[in-house]
Amino acid sequence: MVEKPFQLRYLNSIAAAFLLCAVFLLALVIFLTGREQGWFEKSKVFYVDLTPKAADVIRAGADVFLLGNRIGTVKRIGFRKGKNVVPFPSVLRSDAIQPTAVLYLKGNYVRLIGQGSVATLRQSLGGFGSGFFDLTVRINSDLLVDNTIPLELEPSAKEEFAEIVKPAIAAAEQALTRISALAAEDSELSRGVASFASVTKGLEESGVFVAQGTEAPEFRQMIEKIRAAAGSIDDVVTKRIGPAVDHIGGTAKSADSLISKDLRGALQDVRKAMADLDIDLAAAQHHWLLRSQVKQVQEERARKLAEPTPRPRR
Amino acid sequence: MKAVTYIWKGVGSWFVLFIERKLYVVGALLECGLTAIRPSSWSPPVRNCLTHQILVSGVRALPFTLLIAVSFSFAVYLHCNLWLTLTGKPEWLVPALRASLLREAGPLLATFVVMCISVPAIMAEMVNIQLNGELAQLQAKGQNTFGLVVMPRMIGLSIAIFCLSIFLNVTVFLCLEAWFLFFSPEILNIVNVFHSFMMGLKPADFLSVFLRAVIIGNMIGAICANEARNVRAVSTEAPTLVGRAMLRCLWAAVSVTFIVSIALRVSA
Repeated sequence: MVEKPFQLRYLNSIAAAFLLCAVFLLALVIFLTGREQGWFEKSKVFYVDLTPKAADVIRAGADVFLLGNRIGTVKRIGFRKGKNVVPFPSVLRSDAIQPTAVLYLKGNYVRLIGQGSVATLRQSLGGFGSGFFDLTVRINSDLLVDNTIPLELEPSAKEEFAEIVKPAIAAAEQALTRISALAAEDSELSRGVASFASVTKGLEESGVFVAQGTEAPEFRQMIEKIRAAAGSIDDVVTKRIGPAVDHIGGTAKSADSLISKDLRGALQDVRKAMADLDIDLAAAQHHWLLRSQVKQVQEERARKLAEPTPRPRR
Repeated sequence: MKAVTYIWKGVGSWFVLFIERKLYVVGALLECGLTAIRPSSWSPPVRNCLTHQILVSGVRALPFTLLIAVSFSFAVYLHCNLWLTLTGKPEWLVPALRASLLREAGPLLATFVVMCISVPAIMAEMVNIQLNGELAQLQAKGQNTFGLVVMPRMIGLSIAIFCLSIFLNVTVFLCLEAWFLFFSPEILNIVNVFHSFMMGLKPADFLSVFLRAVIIGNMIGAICANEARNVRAVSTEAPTLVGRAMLRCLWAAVSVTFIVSIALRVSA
């Protein structure tokens, strides 16, 4: 009797081994993925009561950080009615409901949250990006009451900047109004200058040579008028324009410090994004899919540049 | 006038055939599910047929699949190397690789391997059964021919595609890391790549591979049965039917991949 081939003799065993190997690999991949992503760690629920402004910024799915580590996400934004969190309240009275962010946090870092921990609501891109929570650590502290973490709002760089810039613009407008008032035809300065011009003209016409110590009455009058005009100018400059300029200078300084302190991060982000985009574009131009198109455009541009520009007819 | 009549007749018969084929495939999918959940359907011949199908479509296809995975991973490595040289940003590369390679290309490649190995074999077997009158005999005995002949093959193909997809994906991933480790360790830190891959995987990725394997495997079996049913009395019809079955299976695989991708993207 002819013996069956090896594979058919051990058909069931070979098929089972094949299946088991695949299942083992799948289970291993799922286990490693779960371990990396913390699927098997138990989540702990915390609540952050939101102000209307914070409720506008934070969204479900936003990240929660502690000591720079991402330890969870905002699962949803619900409403707190007493101690219970409901998806939507039955009573829509502002004193009866409180918007609440429900945080699902995982890992050992959760043990560092206690009495005195604060959830600071921050926004990426220096106040222009999406919102996230940054929790502060309290070691050896008591447990939180009802797992509620107090909210702290980070001063928004955007609003601070607007608040500083607004008075600066008002001061600049005021200064401009005053300067334009000075330049008007009936202003003291204009009248002084006109009077000075008329005196000078009169002296020139009369042909009087004015020397030092001369007691000519026209000359005395002229000196007085010049002094009055100079005093008027001095008064305007020191008392009115001076404070305005100082105000603008101070405002500019505070804006500068704000920019250097808070908006520098945003600018760096934007600069980094621009650099990344630049790299991407350069890389895309080298790719075989786009290379020919880019080359074609470059050739056309080079041809246009090489063409002699027609001279305008006279 | 006669020509117009012929054209209308041709279009009408093609349309009827088109609908009939689609209905058969859908009906076969439902029937397979309903038959498979009944324990009484799993008699020893059916179990033997299922094991044999797993052996033919899965075990025997494994070396070839691994070979494809190794060569494919090298092609991917070369492409990654080019992109990393140009951009210097591995953090952008890994999510793209995860989405395109593990989720899309892996199951599709496994499907092609199984199709190339199994469709001609299944078609030849079914055409012979049909021509020898074995199906008619079974039906005369009151046996459920679908449960005996078609269902184990459909399920066997699904299992083979699913297992081969896992083997292929794991091999491609390991080989890719190995190529980077051996040839250009300065460009990419393989520990970071591993971490990135694992951090990026979602349950939807596993679901995607599973759904594709199950649906495409079942459809391949149903299409083969549908084509083999059409053979009448001449065995020379078999090559034509095999060719047509291959094309239909290919179209089904691409369509299902497309639909599952869209469905998972929309539901995400």
